[in-house]
Parts: sequence; structure tokens; C-alpha cells
Amino acid sequence: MNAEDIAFSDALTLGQLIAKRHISSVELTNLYLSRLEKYGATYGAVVTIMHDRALREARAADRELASGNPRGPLHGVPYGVKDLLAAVGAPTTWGAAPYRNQVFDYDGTVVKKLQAAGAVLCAKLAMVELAGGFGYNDADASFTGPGRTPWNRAFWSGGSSSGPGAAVAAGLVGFAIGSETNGSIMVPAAFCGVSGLRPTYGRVSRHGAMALMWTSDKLGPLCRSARDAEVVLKTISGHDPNDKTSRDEPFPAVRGRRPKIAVVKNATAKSMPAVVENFEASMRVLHEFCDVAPDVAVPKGPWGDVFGAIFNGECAAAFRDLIESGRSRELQSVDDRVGGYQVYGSLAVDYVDGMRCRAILNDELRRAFAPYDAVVHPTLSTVAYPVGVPFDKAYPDKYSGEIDMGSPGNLAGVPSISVPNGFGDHGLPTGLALMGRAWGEFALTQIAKGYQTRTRFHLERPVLHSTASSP
Amino acid sequence: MPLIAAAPPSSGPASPTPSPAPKKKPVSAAARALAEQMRNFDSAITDKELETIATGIDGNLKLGASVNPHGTALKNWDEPVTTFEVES
Repeated sequence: MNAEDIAFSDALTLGQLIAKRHISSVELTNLYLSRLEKYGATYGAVVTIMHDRALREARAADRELASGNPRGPLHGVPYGVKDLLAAVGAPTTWGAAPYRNQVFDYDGTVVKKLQAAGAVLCAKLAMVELAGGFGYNDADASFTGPGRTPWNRAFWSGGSSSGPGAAVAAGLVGFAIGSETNGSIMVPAAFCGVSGLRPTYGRVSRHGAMALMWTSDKLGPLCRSARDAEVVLKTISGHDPNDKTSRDEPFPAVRGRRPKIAVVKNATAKSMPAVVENFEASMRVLHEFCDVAPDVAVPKGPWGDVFGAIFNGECAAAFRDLIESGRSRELQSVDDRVGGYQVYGSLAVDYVDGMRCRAILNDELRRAFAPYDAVVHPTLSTVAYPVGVPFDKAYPDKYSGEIDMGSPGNLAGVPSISVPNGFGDHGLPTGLALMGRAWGEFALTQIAKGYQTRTRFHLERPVLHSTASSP
Repeated sequence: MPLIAAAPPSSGPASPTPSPAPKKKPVSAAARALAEQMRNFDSAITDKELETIATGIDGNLKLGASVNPHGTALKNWDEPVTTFEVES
């Protein structure tokens, strides 16, 4: 294997290379540190490269391995975290200028768990400022600049986990941790052509992570394979006394039968032709090993309005100090500079009614999808949006109005995975999404792994450009 | 439809998905008055920004009409998804 082959290997392969002494953790860490230096800025993927901490952890991993004490499949494997997760050794900026010098003297629980598993923290990765909380409408919404997909840097890497998506796709880290409140893992996974897993709410401790919407924030992996996502999720999961919503729950998988999946009714409505074509091809693959029910409808909402009512209240409270300080003015996106005031002007009664409505709608969603291990749909109706163009002007209206799976899934707190399923306009990747039952992540990864053993989209590599050679 | 963590407050959660530009409607007096209060936090808010803030708040004030289970009113006994619990 040459350096490029190693850099684009999935985390489990990297762990095996280290375990078999084909490469040391220090060598692998140096490889990724140099790639982060070379390509990180080009794709707007990095906030801070953590040379000292990374090499310290890598040396410790090598020492432990030499003394016969491997910690598991991620031992010595370098990774990055979205810059909303506290870690000793670097600022935690939340992607936003008002917080660019913010420093925490502790590691978030996910970082601690990965350290305990022997993984090596290499970088704080870029993100949309405040995880998009104030309503940005274009890619240039971070103090580090727009995130760019490695497949075509004229296009966005997605948000708000823009850095984790781009860094994994470009082979700058072994894997990454992102977060999702409503789409922030799934969108960058699709736009960057990687495997992103949104866990069940409560599966992973949020301790040390920026709060945006307490009742919907989740931390989860973005990886180069579904099998990686499964292992990383298991590593970071579990109850944490510092997060009362976190729980120890089993990981039930499908045993002794074919997985049952349902195709969401009108799943490809108003999707780009390439998205439709790739989805139909994906369904032919899934038919090989799954029982498929067509046209299962999402219960009627209003999901989006309910999400909005709850989001407004929690976001305004989470950022009340920023809003009242007037420092929203320092944010990068012009929409974000006023968006905080808009959420601040929402009514408490609407928040409570949103939560009442959420209880009813979640029950209906649970009943509708109970017979299935997963419901399947295109992750998004289009490929990535061009950088420099407002989102609402990116593509013709004919590609809007797709089925909203983000609000139902995130209001209910159920898991979802996005895996690459082909390419479309401008050489950009498309995504296949599988949404599951609460605590049913391993049923999703089981299906996704089955898909990836039959396809090669997750093995494709983008041609990279360093800043010096970029147009 | 919402796809990202963000939420443009005027119309529920944000989406990078394109949608037709909304028709301009007059902003309510209540929304305008609330928006004016934001100048207490940032005196540099321009008139144009104030209009944007007021429009967003107006959308939020109208959310209550649509926050219901598919058009039916919430009942007195419908409890929120998270409820108060006494800790031992």
C-alpha cells in the first residue's frame, strides 16, 4: 500500500495495519497531520491541527501495543472532531468568531471514550457557526470560510458538520465525529460521499458539546465505511452521569431473517434525475438481501412547524447570552447576524405546544414504521449546492419540495445512516438514507454493510487539490 | 423542509433546499415592536435588518396556529414529550 492507499483506508483497516505492525500509530498520525496541513484549508475543513496532543497520544498507543496491551479496533487510529466538542489542547470555537478564543480545560465524554479506546485526536474540524442555529442561507457561514466538498471544491461540503464530512472524504483523518440537530450529519455525509450515522437521541453523551437544541442534539460518526460507523458508535455510546439523557441500551441487529425495509412514499419526488437513477439502482441492490415494502407514507405533520417551534425556544435559550450581548454582529453570515433576534422573539407557549404536539406525532411515526427495520429514501433530492450561491437559489424549483425526513426523524430521536450510492451533476456524490427504530442503529449498519459489500461507491476517492494548486 | 441544524425562525427549521421566494406581506405591529426591542442589544441594527428581524418574528408569532397534530387542536390533557420528574 502506498501513502495514498493508507490515507483512504477505513478506520478498521487502519487499526489492523497498526495491530499487525505494518505501520505505527506515530507514522500514521504524521501522515494525517501532513495531509491536514496540505489540504485542510483548501476544503475549509479544519480549525485547529493538534500536533502535540496527536503525537503524544500516538506515541502512547505505540508503547501500549509494544507492551502487548492493544485497546481495541481503533487503537492508534487518528481522528478529528467537529469544533463544538471540548478537547484539551485547542480552542473550541463553535465555528463562530465570538467564540474563537474559547478554551475548555476538559475533554468531552466522546473524546474521553475515544482516548480510552486508543484513538488519536488530530484535529478540531470546521463547522457552520453555532451549528447553523441562527438560520444561515449560504455556505459562507463559518469564521473559517465555506466548507468545500473534496469531489468538487466549487461546491459545499454540507452542514453543519462540514469539516468532518470533507476531512473524511479527503482522507485527512481516519474517521470523524460530527453532530446533528436536524440534518447536520446526514447532509455532509451525502454531499461528501461518506458514511454518516446519526444515533438515537441519548445513545451518545453530549457532555462537552455545544448545545443548540437540547432535546435533539446528537453526536455521531462520519466514516469511510458503514462498518467503521458501527464500531465508532459502539465505542462512544453509553450512559454518562454528566448527561442525564444518555443511556446504556443494547444494539439489536436483525437475526435469522432478511431485513425488512420500507420505501418512503414519493421518496424521489422532485429529485434530480441522477438522484432518482441512483436511488432506483440502490433499491435493486437492497432487493437482493432485504424484503422491501413500497410506498409507506410518513404520518402527516406538521413536522417542520413543530420542529421550528421547539427549536426556536431552545436555541434562543442556549444562546441568550450571545444574543443579548449584541455580538451576533460578529458572525460570518449576514443571515446569522439577525437570526438570533428572530428566534429570541418566539413565544413560550408555542414551545410548549410544540413539545405537546411532538409527543403525539412521535407516537404516530413509531406505529407507522414499527414493522420495518429501516425506511429508505434518498438522503437529499439534489447534489451539493454551489459555494457562493444562496441555498434557495442553488437549483431550480423543480428540485424542491422533497419529502421531509429530517424533522420526523430528529423530533422522534430515531437513528439514520447515509451511505454514498453514486454520482450526479458536476461529479458530486449522492446519498442513500436508512432511518430506523429507536436504538436500532445496528440494524441500519447491518443493511448498509450489506449494501457496501455489493457496491464500491464508498471506496471511490476524490482527486484532491492543495491550496497552492487550487484554481 | 429542514435539512440542517439551523432554523430560519420565520418559517420553521432551515433548509438549504431551494424554495420559491415568499410573497411579501406587511409585518404586524406586534412583531415590529418586538424587533425594536432588539436594538437594546445592538444599537447598530439598521432599518433593513430590523425589517428582516420583524419579518422573522412575525413568522414565529404565526407558528402557534400551525403547531397542532394535523389540523386538530391540542387537548387540555395532551402533555409535552418531556415531563417533570421528581428525583429521589
